[in-house]
Amino acid sequence: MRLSRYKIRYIIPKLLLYLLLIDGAFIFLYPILRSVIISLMTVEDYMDPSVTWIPNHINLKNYIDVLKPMDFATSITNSIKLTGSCILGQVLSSAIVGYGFSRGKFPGKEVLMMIVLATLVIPPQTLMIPYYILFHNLNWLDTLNVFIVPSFFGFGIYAPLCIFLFRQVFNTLPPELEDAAIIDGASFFECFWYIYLPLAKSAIITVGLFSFVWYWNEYARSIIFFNNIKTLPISLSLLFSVDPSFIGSGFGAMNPNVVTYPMMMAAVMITMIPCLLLYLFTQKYYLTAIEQVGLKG
Amino acid sequence: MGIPNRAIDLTLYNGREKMKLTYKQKNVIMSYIAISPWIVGALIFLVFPLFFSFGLSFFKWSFNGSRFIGIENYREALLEDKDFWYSLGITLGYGMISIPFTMLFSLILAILVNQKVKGIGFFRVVYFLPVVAASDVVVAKIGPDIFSKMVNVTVTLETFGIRLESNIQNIISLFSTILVLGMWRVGIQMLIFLAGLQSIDPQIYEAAQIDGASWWKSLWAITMPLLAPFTVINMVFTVIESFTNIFTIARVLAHGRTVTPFFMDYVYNISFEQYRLGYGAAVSWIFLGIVISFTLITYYYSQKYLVKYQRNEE
Repeated sequence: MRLSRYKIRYIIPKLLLYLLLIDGAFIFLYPILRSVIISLMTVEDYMDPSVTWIPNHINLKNYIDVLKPMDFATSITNSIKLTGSCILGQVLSSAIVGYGFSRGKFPGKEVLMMIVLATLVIPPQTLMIPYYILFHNLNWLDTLNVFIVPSFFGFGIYAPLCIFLFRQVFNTLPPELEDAAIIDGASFFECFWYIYLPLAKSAIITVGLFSFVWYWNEYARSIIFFNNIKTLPISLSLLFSVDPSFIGSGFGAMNPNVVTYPMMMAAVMITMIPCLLLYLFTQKYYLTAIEQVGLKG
Repeated sequence: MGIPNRAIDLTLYNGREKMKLTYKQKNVIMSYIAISPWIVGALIFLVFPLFFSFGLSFFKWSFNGSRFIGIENYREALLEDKDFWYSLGITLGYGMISIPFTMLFSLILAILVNQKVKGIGFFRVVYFLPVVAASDVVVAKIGPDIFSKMVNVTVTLETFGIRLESNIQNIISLFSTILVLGMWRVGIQMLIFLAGLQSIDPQIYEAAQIDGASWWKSLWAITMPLLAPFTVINMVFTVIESFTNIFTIARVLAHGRTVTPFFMDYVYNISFEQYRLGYGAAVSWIFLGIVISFTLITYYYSQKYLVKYQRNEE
């Protein structure tokens, strides 16, 4: 069969493109695939240089063995409490503040919005010391309040971005909805709660999920505010109790269990799986909402 | 708005008198109430901490009582503290390297996933996956073992016969590891560029093609200028990211034991391990100044570029 010149010109770039795309996908997935594989290996398999991808024995025991050194029950409860309350706070506060910035017509609106966004630039370590002293005086250290209370006041992790996202989404909704509701006697907040908020579903889901990922994986603040092993969320528990190199220093000293490298990978998978699943089920909303922000940026 | 100055019976009582507010006035009051959580939050979690840490930077702080020492902390940091300059240099140097790399790589990825072929949605999901799935801790855990096999700059340099001093070698390998790990998670920058690419009218490309412009030519003549506003957003985002957020990865990579040369670690070490909070506040204020001026410079120059571009268009 002879290919016409047109076909060759059409097919070859397409093949090259797919090659590039698949190559890229492999590079992006490689570390995750690799850790899945390692987490299923026995120590012997891991040491064996002839085993690269397919382990000789599938060893699910890693996942069970690692629960105890991770202090799984405590740390997962902490993480769920923390992320649950913070998502609620983050979504509610940024939705209402974003609505104010979108539908309100008050003096100083643009300036205030600029200030909200400008707070992103402040390096967290500038605020760390006063936060530490503030929380110390409020007796909040080692409690989950250090994350939950700020999140309800629009000062959670990356809250300016969340407020901005809600504002953008509310801006894209037609203002006539509000006019009609006001003529029918709805108040400002009734408009927000019954009309605009349900329409901003993509923003709610995006902010909720990003907040989940950010709080689930929080590190920089937890390491300063949490000194008690009882309040450690799961990502820190992964760091301190599971890493062999931490044993004998700081938090690691509390943990006499021996943890092998495949067990550590199992712990990595345990912390990663909730984020992974949530992302895969909701990626549609993620990607569109971020594009919406970009479009009006 | 459709209803200007429409008087609405508002059951807002001021003493015994019933007040009537226009629609506009009501809207102003209500929107202030709506943003009030942020305003209260800003007073507690922004204004107070900033003033407090600025004040603290003039004190020698201790648990038993602080002593006012004027600008001594700033003087010590700027003139005597070698670690300060070292960590500052390393952090800014890393920013200088990582920002162009991140921008270029995310642009290439965005162009790749903007192609209209079957199954492109899958690739978008996969390329964005590491941002969501891999937290800093996870990245730093699986990163060194897995990525070091893929990229090892020092070994590569050695095969070319270049041998460096061990501390420079350490910095290079730290930089390259963090850079590669950062590259792995450029998803957000990629999406911003992708949004930009999709906002460009395809008719412009068609017109260029009819005029005989090559793909490369239209990339430079059409795509790059039209992407400029998105490049600005990305630039600011990447500046912030590379100056402030590498803290975690660097620290976890070093297993929390050794102090990494990055600035955040330096501040952390001074404040929460040596408990020199006054000095830490002073140092972090200097850093705040640097980051803000960097962002402003980026913003200012890009704004200038945008204006020039629009003028040319006319």
